[in-house]
Amino acid sequence: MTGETRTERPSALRHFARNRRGLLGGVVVAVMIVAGTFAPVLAPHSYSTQSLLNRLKPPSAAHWLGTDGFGRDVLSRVIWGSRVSLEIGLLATALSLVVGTAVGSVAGYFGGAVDTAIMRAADVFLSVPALFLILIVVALFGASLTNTALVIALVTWAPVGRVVRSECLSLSNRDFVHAAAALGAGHARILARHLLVNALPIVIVQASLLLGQTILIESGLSYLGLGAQPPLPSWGNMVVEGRQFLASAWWIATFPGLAIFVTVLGFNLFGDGLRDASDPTLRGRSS
Amino acid sequence: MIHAIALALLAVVLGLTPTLGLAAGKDFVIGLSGDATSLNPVVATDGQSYIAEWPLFDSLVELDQTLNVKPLLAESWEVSRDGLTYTFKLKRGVKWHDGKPFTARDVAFTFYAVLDPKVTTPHRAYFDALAGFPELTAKENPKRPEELAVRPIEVVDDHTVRFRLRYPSGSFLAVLTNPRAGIVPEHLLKGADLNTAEFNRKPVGTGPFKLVEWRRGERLVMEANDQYHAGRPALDRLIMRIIPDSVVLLQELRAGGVDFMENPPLTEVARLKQTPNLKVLVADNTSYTYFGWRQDLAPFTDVRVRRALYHAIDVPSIVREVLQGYAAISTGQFPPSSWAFDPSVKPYAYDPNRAKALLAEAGFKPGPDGVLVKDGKRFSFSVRHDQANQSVKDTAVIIQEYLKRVGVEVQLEPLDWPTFVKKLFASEFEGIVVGWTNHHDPDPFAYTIWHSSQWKGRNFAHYKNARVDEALEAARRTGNTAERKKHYAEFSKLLMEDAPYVFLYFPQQVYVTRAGYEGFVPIPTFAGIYQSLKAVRWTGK
Amino acid sequence: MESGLRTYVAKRVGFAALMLVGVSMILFTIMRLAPGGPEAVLIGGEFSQEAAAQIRQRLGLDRPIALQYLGWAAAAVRGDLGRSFKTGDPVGALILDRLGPTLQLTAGALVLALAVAIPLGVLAAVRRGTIWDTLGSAVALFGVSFPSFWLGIMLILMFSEVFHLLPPSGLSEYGHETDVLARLRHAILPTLTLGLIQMASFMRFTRSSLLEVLRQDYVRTARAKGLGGGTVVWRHALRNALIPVVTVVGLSLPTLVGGAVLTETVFAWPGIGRLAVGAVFERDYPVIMGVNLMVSTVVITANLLTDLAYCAIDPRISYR
Repeated sequence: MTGETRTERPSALRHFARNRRGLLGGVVVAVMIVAGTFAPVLAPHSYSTQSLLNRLKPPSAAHWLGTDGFGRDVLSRVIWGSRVSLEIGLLATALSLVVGTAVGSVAGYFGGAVDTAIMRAADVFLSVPALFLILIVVALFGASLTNTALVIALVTWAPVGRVVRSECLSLSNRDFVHAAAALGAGHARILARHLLVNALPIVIVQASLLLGQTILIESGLSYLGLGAQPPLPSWGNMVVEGRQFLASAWWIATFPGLAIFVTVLGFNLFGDGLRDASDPTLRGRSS
Repeated sequence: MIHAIALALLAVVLGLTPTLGLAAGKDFVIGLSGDATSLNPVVATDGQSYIAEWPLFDSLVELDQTLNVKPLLAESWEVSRDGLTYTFKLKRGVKWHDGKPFTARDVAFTFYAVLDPKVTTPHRAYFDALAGFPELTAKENPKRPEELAVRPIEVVDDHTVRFRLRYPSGSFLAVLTNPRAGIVPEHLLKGADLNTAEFNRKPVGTGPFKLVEWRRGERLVMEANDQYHAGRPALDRLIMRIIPDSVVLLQELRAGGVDFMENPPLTEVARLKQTPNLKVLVADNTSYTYFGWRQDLAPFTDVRVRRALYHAIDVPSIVREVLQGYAAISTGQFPPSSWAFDPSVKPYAYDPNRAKALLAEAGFKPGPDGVLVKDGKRFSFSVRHDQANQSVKDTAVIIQEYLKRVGVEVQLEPLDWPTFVKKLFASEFEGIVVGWTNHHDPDPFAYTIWHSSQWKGRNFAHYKNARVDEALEAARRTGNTAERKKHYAEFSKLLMEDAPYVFLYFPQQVYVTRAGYEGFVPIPTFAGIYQSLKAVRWTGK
Repeated sequence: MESGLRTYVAKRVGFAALMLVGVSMILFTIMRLAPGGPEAVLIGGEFSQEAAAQIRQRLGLDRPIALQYLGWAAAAVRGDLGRSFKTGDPVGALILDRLGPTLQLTAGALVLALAVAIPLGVLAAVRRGTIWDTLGSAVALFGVSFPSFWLGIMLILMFSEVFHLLPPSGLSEYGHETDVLARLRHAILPTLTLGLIQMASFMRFTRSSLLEVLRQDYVRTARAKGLGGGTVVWRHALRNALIPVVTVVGLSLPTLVGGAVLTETVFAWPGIGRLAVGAVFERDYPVIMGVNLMVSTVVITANLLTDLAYCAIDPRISYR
């Protein structure tokens, strides 16, 4: 009577492939990763070579996205910018995920007093305005790539922890966990082998969304004057540098801004697609 | 329900913020890029405070467009033959904003406050020539003025004040001008701690405008002083709006939200000049930007290396392309508008080949990665600068590129201002790109930057040259301008030979104002244009 | 039960106070340990070591960190947040002054966001898979992918520079003052900037939360029983779906009172966000500590009250 049959279980991967939005996101993500990884090869010019006589030239055959205030090629800098965003993003996301997952799963699995204590600690991090905290650390201790990544992780681990915790809370009551415990498996084993493996889809979704978020945070920091420093291009500091030329040389700030937008959109689409694909009740319906 | 709450909230909140009424032509809105710190000329030292002080306080004398000294609060003055005594006759009938009369006692009070070691003010150094200066400003057991045999400042009568110097200084009159020498009222500040007095937030001066309101971080509002001794200004009110973002400031100017701003993005100036209802004013300035380094650190100890760095950088291109021509190329400590400037001193021309040759002579050979190497060490150093100053940042990036082309590697380290200044004055740096605000008189900065006794002060680059020391001291000790000029010429020549900096440029001050306002006088000193606010009027054209 | 409740409340309040102290201590230490200090900012261009040392002494910065903190904390408990290093104004007054504009902006944005997000989110969830869902989700997706400062800059460019419709910055109009309408005009762009992005995120959350609830067993049961779609949605599902939404809104509480830093900077809005940013750059420690204290207090108190409210409402929650 229902359209779907229970015997047929298409793999998550195939369902993901049918999800058009997720695919689109995946393509964007892939492009960004390729651009960042192969930047030295892909970029037509160096990101730092200046030509003072060639400043502020509009997009042309020689410079597809024009040149900036120092005569540097905008296209090359946008490509290299993906590398910086990727580095900071990956580092911050990895840290955030590791801490968030570890803390969240422990809280969700053990419950009780442990859960309360951990959640209170997380509350502390959530009660400080995020940008404020980031500002303090970066402004006072310097805006190196590592510092920026560290402090972004500091601000984003708590929401991840929450999500993982609620997943683990519900998982820890399932039969297979009780069974494993009855069989004498230790806490660590149950956590690692059973809970985390099942929570993995959630974590991956979070990763994708987090990456998008860190790119936004980093560009915000650059707008305030922190973040990656010249001549290293980050999309955020390109927007800032180009802003004074907005009326006369719009391409300098617009293309990096567009890059931020498209990339974050891609990560969000990808994350959404992953989430839809891993949701068992959504299988059988294509969107 | 939500909507009702929202409206209620909005009403409450809107009601909380006070408002202004504005009359076109009679009110003048100035856009400032930051808030003033304190409105007390004795203690305030940041640029925004200087700008705000100008309409509120008068000094004894003021400058004209050629940097000559004119009477203001002082009607006339006499200098003794030996140049050690200055007697000023003060204008009569001058009143403070609170109505009390201005007298010579206020002048004496102001400058004794500047000399008082308990008052935190770097302006003190400008008055080094006053008699008893070392005793009054000593760190241990400073004397009080009553204990001195020769008093540096004497109140002869209500309208006459006398200054005594310990050596004939040619710069004495020049340092008695705003913004660092505004006169403050004795009757309001006697016995108070000038560093933290409430006065600093509610100033009372003798200037053409009085402060009516100061909403921190938002605006300062000043009203015309009807009792002003030189005649009531034409404008009714001055409103200084604080808008830190220069792009937004420009938008406000175009939209009519402000009538005046300084330092727009230089690439916009051409467009602004063509905008029918806006006017662009340009003034020379005494500040200059330079690329410097620790003189006592290898390899900068070798004069060939220093000259090579100078040859490697194309300063004229920077001035033309980055500053759009709104700067003068610097050849030393003095701007072209200064009488001490010597046009015969020429900078090292842009010549990368010569740079490479000099470096080779100094023992450098190209390394495997293109960076020069000597004795196993790569020629690579860090250059620190203020991360918030856009043109300094741009300049540093350009310098990095030019040096790369001759095989020198520069790592840029932008630092935030508090950290940067701390490291500067602790001499913790290798290379720096920074500027000096400078003074319209040559002595104050030339001495404190280049004299070898000042290593703990502005000479944080640790420069030392005995002949330069002599020239600076000689220039200081005479009141004769022609003689001073000779010594400064010698000084400038020696400096360029030594090439302790790559002197870059003197950026001009560019102002944009709404057309229809006349009367601005762009005086070539820091924020000099604000002196003429008392003469600005609306002609409506 | 009564004593259990009391103990629970006491424990929670105690813990909340502890958190406040902990956060402020950590913040205080971080700031003192960082290089640089307020002297450089206060002195400006005419820096001298001598003046710097004098200022440090006057501000009490040469005392041991622990003493400095205790001094601050003791005063704070009495309600005295000290004076700004830069201006000398009492910190409490500074914050109160900026609170009005901040609330105007953030509350306005929040109201806008919720008013649009909830109906849209519900629509998208209920009409899942249709054009409403696709369109709504797309708009929301765009919204969360946009850098807020970029949105602000673009809006100013469009509505102020190109079309001359709205003013580019500031709180009130210089020229047409007591005009409430002018105030509203100034508030439109900043509120839109902040509100649109919040709206996008709330909408996504509402949609997913409602979807989650809709597929729960009790909903299917209600449907099977023949209850009309509308009744099911509005009576059962929505109420439950909104609980997590309240949580998410709660997460934006720090921004609500702490100010939206980026938006305030773009629009030169005199709110707490800009006050805080300026204070950080200028090492104005009393202001930083004061703002942080205010925000943490509000947030921690709100959390406390919510928890206690849940306890009161839901008998199943036990006191630990």
